[in-house]
Amino acid sequence: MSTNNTNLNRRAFMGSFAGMALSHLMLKNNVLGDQPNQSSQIIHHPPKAKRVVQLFMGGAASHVDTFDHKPLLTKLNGKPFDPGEKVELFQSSPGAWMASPFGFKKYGQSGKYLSDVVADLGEVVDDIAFVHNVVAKTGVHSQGTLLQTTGFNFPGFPSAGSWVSYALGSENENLPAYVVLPDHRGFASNGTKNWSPAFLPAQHQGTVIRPGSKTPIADLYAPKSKFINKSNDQAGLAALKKLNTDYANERSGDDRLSARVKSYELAAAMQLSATDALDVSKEPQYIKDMYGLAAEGPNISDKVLNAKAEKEFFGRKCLIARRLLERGVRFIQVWSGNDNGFPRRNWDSHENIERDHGPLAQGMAKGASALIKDLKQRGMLEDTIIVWTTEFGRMPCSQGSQGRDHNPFVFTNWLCGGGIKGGTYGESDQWGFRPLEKKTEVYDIHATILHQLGIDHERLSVRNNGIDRRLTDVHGHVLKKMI
Amino acid sequence: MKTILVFLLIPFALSAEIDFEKDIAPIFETHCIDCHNDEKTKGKFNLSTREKMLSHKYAVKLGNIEESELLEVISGDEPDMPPKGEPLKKKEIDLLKKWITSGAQWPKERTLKYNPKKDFDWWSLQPINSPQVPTGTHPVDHFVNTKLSEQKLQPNRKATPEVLIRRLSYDLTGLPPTASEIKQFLTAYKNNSKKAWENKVDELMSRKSFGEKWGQHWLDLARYADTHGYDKDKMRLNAWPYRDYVIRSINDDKPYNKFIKEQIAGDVIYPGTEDGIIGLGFLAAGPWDFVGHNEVKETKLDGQITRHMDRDEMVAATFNVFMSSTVQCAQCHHHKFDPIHQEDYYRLHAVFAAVDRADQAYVDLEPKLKKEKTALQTEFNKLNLQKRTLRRKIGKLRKAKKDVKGLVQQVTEIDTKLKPLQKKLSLMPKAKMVYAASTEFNKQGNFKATNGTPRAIHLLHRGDMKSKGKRMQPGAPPFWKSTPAIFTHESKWREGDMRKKLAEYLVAQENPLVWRSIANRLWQWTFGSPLVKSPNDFGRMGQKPTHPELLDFLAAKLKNDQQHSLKAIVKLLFTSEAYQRASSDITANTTIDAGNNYLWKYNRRRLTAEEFRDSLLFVSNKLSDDKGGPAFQDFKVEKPQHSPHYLYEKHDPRDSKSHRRTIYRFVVRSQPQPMLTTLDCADPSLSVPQRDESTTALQALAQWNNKFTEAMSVYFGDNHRTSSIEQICMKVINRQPNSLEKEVLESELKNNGITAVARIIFNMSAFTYVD
Repeated sequence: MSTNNTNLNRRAFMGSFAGMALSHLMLKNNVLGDQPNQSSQIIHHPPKAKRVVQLFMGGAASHVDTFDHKPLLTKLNGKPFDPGEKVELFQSSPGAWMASPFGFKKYGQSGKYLSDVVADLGEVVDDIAFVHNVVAKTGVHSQGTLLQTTGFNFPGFPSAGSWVSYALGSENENLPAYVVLPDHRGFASNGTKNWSPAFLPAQHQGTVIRPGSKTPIADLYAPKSKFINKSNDQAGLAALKKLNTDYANERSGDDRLSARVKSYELAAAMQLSATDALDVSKEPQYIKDMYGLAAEGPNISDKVLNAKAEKEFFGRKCLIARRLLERGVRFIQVWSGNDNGFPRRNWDSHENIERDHGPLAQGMAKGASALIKDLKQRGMLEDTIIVWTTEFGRMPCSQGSQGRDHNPFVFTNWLCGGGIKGGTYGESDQWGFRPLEKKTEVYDIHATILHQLGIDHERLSVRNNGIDRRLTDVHGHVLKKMI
Repeated sequence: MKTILVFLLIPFALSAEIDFEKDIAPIFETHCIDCHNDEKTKGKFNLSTREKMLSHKYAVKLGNIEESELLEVISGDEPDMPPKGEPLKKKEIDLLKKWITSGAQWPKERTLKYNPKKDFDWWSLQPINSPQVPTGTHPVDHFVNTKLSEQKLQPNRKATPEVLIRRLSYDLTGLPPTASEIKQFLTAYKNNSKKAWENKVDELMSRKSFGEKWGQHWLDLARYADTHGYDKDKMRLNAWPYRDYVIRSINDDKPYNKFIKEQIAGDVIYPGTEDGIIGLGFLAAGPWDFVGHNEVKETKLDGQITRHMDRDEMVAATFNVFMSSTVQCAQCHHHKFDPIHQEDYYRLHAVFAAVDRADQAYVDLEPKLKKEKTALQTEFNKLNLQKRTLRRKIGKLRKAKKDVKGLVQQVTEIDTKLKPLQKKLSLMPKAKMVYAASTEFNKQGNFKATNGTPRAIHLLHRGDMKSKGKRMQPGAPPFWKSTPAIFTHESKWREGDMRKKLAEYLVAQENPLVWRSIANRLWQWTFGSPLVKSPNDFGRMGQKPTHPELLDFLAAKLKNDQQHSLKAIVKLLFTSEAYQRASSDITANTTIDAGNNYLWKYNRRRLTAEEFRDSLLFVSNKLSDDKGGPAFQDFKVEKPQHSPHYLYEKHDPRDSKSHRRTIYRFVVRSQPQPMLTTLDCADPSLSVPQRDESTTALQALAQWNNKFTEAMSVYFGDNHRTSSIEQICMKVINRQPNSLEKEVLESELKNNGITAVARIIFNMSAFTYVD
């Protein structure tokens, strides 16, 4: 047994799985040279967009401290909270009205007000469609998260990304159609349920990629081993190909068996494609700077929550997202914020908005803004939708003296690119407590995204346990003014 | 049927007066009333009475068909209405025109109502037949072969005994046969194939591993896991007794009616028995929202919604699993396809109105001991509280730089009392607990037991907690004539009695669904594909059986059997010729029935995620015989106090504690085991009647690169240093290698050694598939 390879350089080694196939594989095209089957796509009308990035703020980001400017709160600051009705809060009893700890300034031709902590989005603010009247069903994190990711507030339903993958398939079979970039500090509420395929076929599950970690995709490379080396790895795969092809040939008529042979070739191609997609080292410095990457790299300390580290974390994910989008990934979920643990590394600022929202928002705004600009300069913004969302909003009154409790009654989403027109669609009331007039629901956002992808949300359905299930349940209206 | 009648009448109707009841009402009832009634009034247009119809400004202008918008929206090539389904026929529109022209006569007393399906004329709701089988024929083969010849399909040849023994072993126990077992079987088979086969079926079904394989089928259905799911995803350390209960019940061939009764109301029907409590683990097995229950008061709207969803989960699971019925579709409106009213659904909520999910004792302490323990615990808690209060005081005083000596002394004194108490408590015997449906448990935050007092259940219009309707009595959908819709008319009832009534409803001899449901599942677990392709839905949105008589034969046999023995049915299925056919293709058949709906061949299948993992352990001589008890964890937990992180990458696959059968693993909802998930194991968030069998690149990566495969390859290599390729193949793929296999593997053995060969053979299709 060979033992000379225990300290093998992982990157050099990974080529072995791929190596066997490389000779007859084109790197960028999919393995067997056949394009994803267009006819199997579920498309109902000509699409405007081809791909989606969902930016998810775990823990519930405050609208009134970021995108939904409420000057009245500055005036009312410290006065007794009185929105004209009795209010049940999630954790606490309502404190006084509380002004945002952050300043607001006007940006863009539209003169849209943004908070100082999301000022980086000012450059692209005119491209963004803000929806300030989104409502949730409850103020419970798990339910709010699932509602945004799957359209239902309890588990058991496919995520939006799974539906999109199911309908449109992959543009590049060498990479998963649906990729998830979680916060490296932990999963948000419900964990993998937020990218679960539920009753859709398993290949529509989001594939977790952890940029900067030793194994960015589970099992992408051979594990640390005393016996596996490059040569027996390659030889083993070549032997398998012979054996499994023979097995399939002897059982003609069973497509699964030849698909299984192909799956090992796809795996090989994925090793190459994914490694290439995740390697940001060759990106020019100005691009790295634009995304806020830190000189220290992904291991920068966040022992004390700080903006520099948050920019590195979120920015790197946004940069990876762009590289994956370029390579044909259909749907990418980017997470900011981990589970609801302590110390807070998420947006659930019950204790202190300034301390926690400050760095997180700056990190998010830097990365998101860079992603929009970068896609735009590459001509990809026109067919890529970016959607920013969170579980629910936060109250215009205080919790303790500096925090805010949950506000399921109103919060903000924004969309950008993929044929979405900038502007403000839907307003909250003068305090950011409830919608001003009409409300927007997650179904409407999902219906609009599907619409831009060429899909009628009422016709994309799969029967499960006796019900024709849809991403939008029995609801949803395309936000026509926005497109 | 009504609409067809209308068409027949049209020539006369057009010439005669329009009759509302005959001509118009059916049109409205078929196409319009679903959305335009008193409960649901889309576009503010209500068709329940003439007056209401006319109260809409533009819809119907009497005598004026040009200005009546109703006619406009239903006419044209792509009419706006109805939004779904077939547009109205021209003849229907003509009738409406004539009716409006002539003044839209509509009897005053006649109100049109949204008419949910009252129709019981559906296969699964008919009484179960007991079809006759000619004597001397195997009943399964009688029905299957009749269909085959009807469809002009040729049954495949019998599989070879080498193929059969591997198939049987995996299908019954989830593990491969050993070399000596194969040898023995082949010898016996040569002498008397029928006898050898029957003996082998009996022998495998009597092994403990039978329950470990078939228990997993049930746990998939029961949405079993060892954590709560949702936010924080806390551990359920006492879920496992239910898992063991399922395995034990299957191995003991517990009568199916008893199995059901224990899972719904075992505490009431079998008081004083362990299984009577543990069985209730079924109701609690699904996900539970810790934050929604624990951190939100039940009086708040969010708290009520959370508890409503929790009951919905129990109701849906009970009916999907035992009845193959989708009652949960009647949450917001009457079931659109099956005879289930919204009231029926909320009556089921009333049945479960007092139960929550919590730990409860299935073996409790002796009353005297329990009292003693409670007293000790109370004393301990009291002192502990005092200590904490003192500590807080000390902290404050220290900050203010004040003297704390006296207080510190007090803490020390308390400690001297606490320590012996703690020791005493730790030495006392513990009750055995199971996570189950429960009405009594210790308060945790806002999560409080009902102590048996049912919560008030109201019908919720559109399923909305803010639109409460009438208060509901407990009951169940009257799917057959002799069962009442309501269990009691009293205003007060004992909650356990209602669960008992539900259990009795489920196991009723007249119940047309329950026996068919389980017969279909047993078929599926034997043949890989069910007779009714929608095993959790026998309603109109589901599928019809491919072999209705066969299904009824099995259902009737099970129902009429005094023992309601599942094993008797399983044995019948496994001893059929249909089960023993080869899995190869017959070209002539594939053009008629490519999906093998009629069982002309065996359905070749991939090993399940569990079978893959268990087999690797088994053939590497590492599978532990440790059965039952607390689950093994193949992850490391970090931050357990708040939201536990379940880190699989930090687990060492060589840890022998994890070398148990996969059914004994700790199943995490929010972060499921990555390798098993990639290999299509069930998602415990929902009842999974049938798993996917996907083929993906990520699977190839998992099977080839996962550290578990690596570790098992090393073990296999260590244990087979001197084995020949023939012996290795016999062990892993359970047959002699063919010439290509022999050549390729021998060359690998020579060049790269046995460990590398193990990794290859663990990835071979010949290993991964069961022929």
